[in-house]
Amino acid sequence: MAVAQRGLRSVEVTDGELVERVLGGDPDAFNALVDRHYLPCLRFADRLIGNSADAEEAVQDTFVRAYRALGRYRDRQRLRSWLFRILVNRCRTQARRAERRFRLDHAAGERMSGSVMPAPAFEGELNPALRSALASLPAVQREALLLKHVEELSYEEMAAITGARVSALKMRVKRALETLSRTLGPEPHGT
Amino acid sequence: MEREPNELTPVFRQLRGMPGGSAAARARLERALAGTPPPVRTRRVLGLPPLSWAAGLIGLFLLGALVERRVVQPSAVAPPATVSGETATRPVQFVLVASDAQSVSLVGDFNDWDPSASPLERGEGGVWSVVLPLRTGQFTYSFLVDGREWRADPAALRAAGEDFGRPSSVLLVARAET
Amino acid sequence: MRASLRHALGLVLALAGAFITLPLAAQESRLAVRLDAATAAAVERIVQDARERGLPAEPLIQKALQGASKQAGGDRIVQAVRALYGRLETAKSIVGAGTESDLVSVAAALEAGATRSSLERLRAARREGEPFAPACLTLAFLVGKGVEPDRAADVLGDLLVARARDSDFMLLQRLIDADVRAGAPPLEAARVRARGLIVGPVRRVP
Repeated sequence: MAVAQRGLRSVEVTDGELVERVLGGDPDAFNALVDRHYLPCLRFADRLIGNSADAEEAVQDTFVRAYRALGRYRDRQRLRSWLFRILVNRCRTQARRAERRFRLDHAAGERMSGSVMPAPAFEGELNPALRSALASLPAVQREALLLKHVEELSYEEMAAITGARVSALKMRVKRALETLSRTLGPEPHGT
Repeated sequence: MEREPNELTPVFRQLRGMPGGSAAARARLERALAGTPPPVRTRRVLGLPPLSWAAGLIGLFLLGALVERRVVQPSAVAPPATVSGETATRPVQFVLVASDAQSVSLVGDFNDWDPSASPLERGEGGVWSVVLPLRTGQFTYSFLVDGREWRADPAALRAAGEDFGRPSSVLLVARAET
Repeated sequence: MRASLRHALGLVLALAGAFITLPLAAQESRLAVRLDAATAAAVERIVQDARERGLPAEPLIQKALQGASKQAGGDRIVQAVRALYGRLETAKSIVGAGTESDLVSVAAALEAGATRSSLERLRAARREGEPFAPACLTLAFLVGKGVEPDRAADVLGDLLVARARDSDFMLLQRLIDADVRAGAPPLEAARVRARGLIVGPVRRVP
């Protein structure tokens, strides 16, 4: 006889409950939240900023800020959306820092595009062709594309996270997909 | 749901792959958190200190007590706001044969599991029964015999899964059919 | 701001707040009255989460009250409520925009051991606007008797397609129960009795 599944979801503490525990004075509860959200945040930051070191820093800043501001989290919103709002802002700040650093490093006359050129990625992470295809996108398009098709958020959530209008976000995603299709085409590099 | 164009599927598969994350970075985060004072619930509401709110609330509760009697439902009645569908009720009979019992009561979702809400009436030969008006829907329930023994309804479907170690039954009150 | 003015403002705002919070407080007072403070608080958080996700709160509250009535420990009650919450979430992903009754019965079927695929089959077979609960509970019943979920769903799906009424499903359960007691293999009993109901006429128990 086939094994019957006893419901697909194991008994899990919800994000909301963990937040309550942190505010109630339980230090381990925040670690549990970090465990849950760290890698997805790192993935987003890495794809958005384009290098691992800056991504790690942005994620660290995000969690420290989230920890400090946790008392202000109102569970009207999913915790993940609230966290990503902080993360997106940290990534923007981090990217600006990285860009200034890069420009300083390359002050000797090289003409740069508006986006950040990647430092060496994680070992075995995105292949270089994909990295530079992403890097060729304007930052806001890259951001929207990742939120929509990697994080799989709704346009409403994306609007709350980025502060942009839904119509603008849809346009950004559309343009980003068009550029990627052109660049990476029906024969994607490196797969 | 919107999906990316087919030719980009391998691209997105790569993008969605989780990075490993370095242990050093994680350790740095932990140190940073350890050095941060723990968060507290925000207490100032609209710039007013709690004392003013307390004063207001006391005055309010006196007023509220007057309103409450008319606005709030007694706890024995399930709040209609959370139940979708029909609100009309139908009489449903529950029967337990228990000749040795001194008392039998019906306890379930429809009376907030209150053992005193729906006692059964004893009939000849220990046939206990009660009729309750119930809305359409699914209900879990049990009989409580002599205030201490929980019994499932032999005439109904057994409730599967967590029943807190005391058997329960499931009843579906179906729609009135035309 | 002068102290007297602050207090007056506090009173006015609190009055407004009360009309919103009093009915809400009354709903959850059932938990506060029957459970210890820590358990009540834990259950209320889960209930809040459920409301935010558009999941029905009442089944969760009733689960907690059931545990209280049966004198279960606080941890066990919270565990049970949490598990039901999880099943309701899964149910929502299967049923989508269903009624509360649909979600509750799918959750019950999951608890009895129905698989996602079997419930999706059932959902695919049902007609728009027809209730799901009788078929789901019958699926739970069959799975509980040891019938493999997908096979059970096939049989019940046929009944749904044939526009079986709620009472047909209830009758089906009784008939299969009797057959199984007499020694019949449950799936075979289900197939035979379902065929009988579809082809008809079956003498209805008055």
